[in-house]
Amino acid sequence: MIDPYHTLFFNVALKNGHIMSRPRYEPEQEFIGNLTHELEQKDPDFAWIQFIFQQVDYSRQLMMLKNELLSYKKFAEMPEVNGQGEPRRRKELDSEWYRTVELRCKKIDELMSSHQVLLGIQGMWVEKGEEATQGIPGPLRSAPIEFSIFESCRDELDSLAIFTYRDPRVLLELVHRRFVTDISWYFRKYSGSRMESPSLILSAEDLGNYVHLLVGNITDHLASLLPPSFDEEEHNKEFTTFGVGSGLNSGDSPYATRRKENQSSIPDPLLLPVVEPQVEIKTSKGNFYLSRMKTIPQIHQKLDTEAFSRLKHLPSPYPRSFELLYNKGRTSLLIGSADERDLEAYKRFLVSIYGGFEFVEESEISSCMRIILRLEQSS
Amino acid sequence: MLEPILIVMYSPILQFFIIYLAAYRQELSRFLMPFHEHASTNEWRKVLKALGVEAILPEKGPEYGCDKRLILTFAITVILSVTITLTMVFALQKALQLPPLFRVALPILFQFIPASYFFAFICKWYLGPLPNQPKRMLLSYPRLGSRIRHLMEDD
Repeated sequence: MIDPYHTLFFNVALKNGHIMSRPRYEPEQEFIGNLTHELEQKDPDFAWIQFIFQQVDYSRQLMMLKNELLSYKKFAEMPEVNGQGEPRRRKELDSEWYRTVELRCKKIDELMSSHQVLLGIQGMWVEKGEEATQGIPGPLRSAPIEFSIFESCRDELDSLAIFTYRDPRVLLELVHRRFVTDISWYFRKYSGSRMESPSLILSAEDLGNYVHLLVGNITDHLASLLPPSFDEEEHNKEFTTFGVGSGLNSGDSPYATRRKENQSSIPDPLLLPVVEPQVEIKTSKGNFYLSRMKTIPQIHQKLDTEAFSRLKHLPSPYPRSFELLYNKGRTSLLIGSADERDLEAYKRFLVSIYGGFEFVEESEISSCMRIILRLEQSS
Repeated sequence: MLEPILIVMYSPILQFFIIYLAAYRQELSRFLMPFHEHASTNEWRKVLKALGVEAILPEKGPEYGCDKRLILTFAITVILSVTITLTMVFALQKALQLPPLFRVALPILFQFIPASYFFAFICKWYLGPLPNQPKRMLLSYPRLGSRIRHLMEDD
């Protein structure tokens, strides 16, 4: 039975709606690891977190927004004339809106000078509870989902926050991997009654902050990553040797060797493993092609700066997804794309960065979600 | 036939629109794009059907924007408005010394009471939270997220 009382949907967006803000998580490359760790601590019955991203170009809107902010600054600095014809200081000069104009313009310049990516973070949460397991509807949950990891993603202007929903239509959006790609309305409303944009606009370099594999020492403490038939010997042989040494290419592990091979097949970072679309793409209306990582490699050493910077080539003109599924104490990683060939390119790209690992095909409604929702195919 | 001034004096319709214009002045098109959740069991059924899956659902789910509640609120508003109208008619008949302007303005002002009551309901369950004030650095949180605006946009 689906329990609407214990099922929540959410998306992650800017708390104060400053669209030019580029929140980051520190330390680098530890975001997904710490997110998984927090998931384990909260231990819901089921959790699904999607990161959907796509290359975009919002330079025109950004430029218009910058002009609007500069016009406001000019207006605030222009003295007003009082009843006796004497110039006096405007009260706008004391407002925080005025004081932060330059910072916001700087952020806009940074975004305009780099490739832009739209990132949608959304998901589903099925709370564990005695009422839920017994199928007795409990009281409506009033407290929002709390993830300190998202709240830690911040910059000088804004931070991320979770927005929760009970509307089941979000489930359709999740299954079809739809995210909001047209955020022009939020640009227009910025100086008026603004709201947070449901998708974040980031520079391509920022994407690696959110979309990366689990690396670092934290992987030692993540019990949910272990495969169901976990074999200590196999684990030591296959995973722990990966990445040990001065860089990921060091060591004689099969992963390191394969990574070297894969990297040599992509000699220039500019040769992006991206499939150029035949027609202009706005949103994905058709199927989404998905693959699940058969096992999640536990990489103890972080990527070196050069390898990490290559993550800026992750986005493509097609929407791509990176998903975390947590089900009954187990975490799975899914990747997907709106185009089949693009998904292959996405996989090759990840393998070139992190080494070799296997993928299996996954359906839009993953098997573990079927279990948790007790769903049955009607036809 | 009813005179327009009588409709204004003894019904809360105009007052309702005045409150709407004042409250949503930053986003007057809100009634075209209401900002609220649909979380009834019926909505779950529709979603599961769209996904092509079957699942057992509880008979009663978290209800949002329930029609029964709307009918009840509307009925209370009408009762309030009629009561105020009758009270005003009798009161004004006795207060003959009141200037003509007051005799028109008082019923109009009192009709803001049922109008506010109905508006508060519509605001909470249908239109969604009031728009934020312009040029504010911080927005209130927690709040209903804007993702809800874009559900099923492509369908």
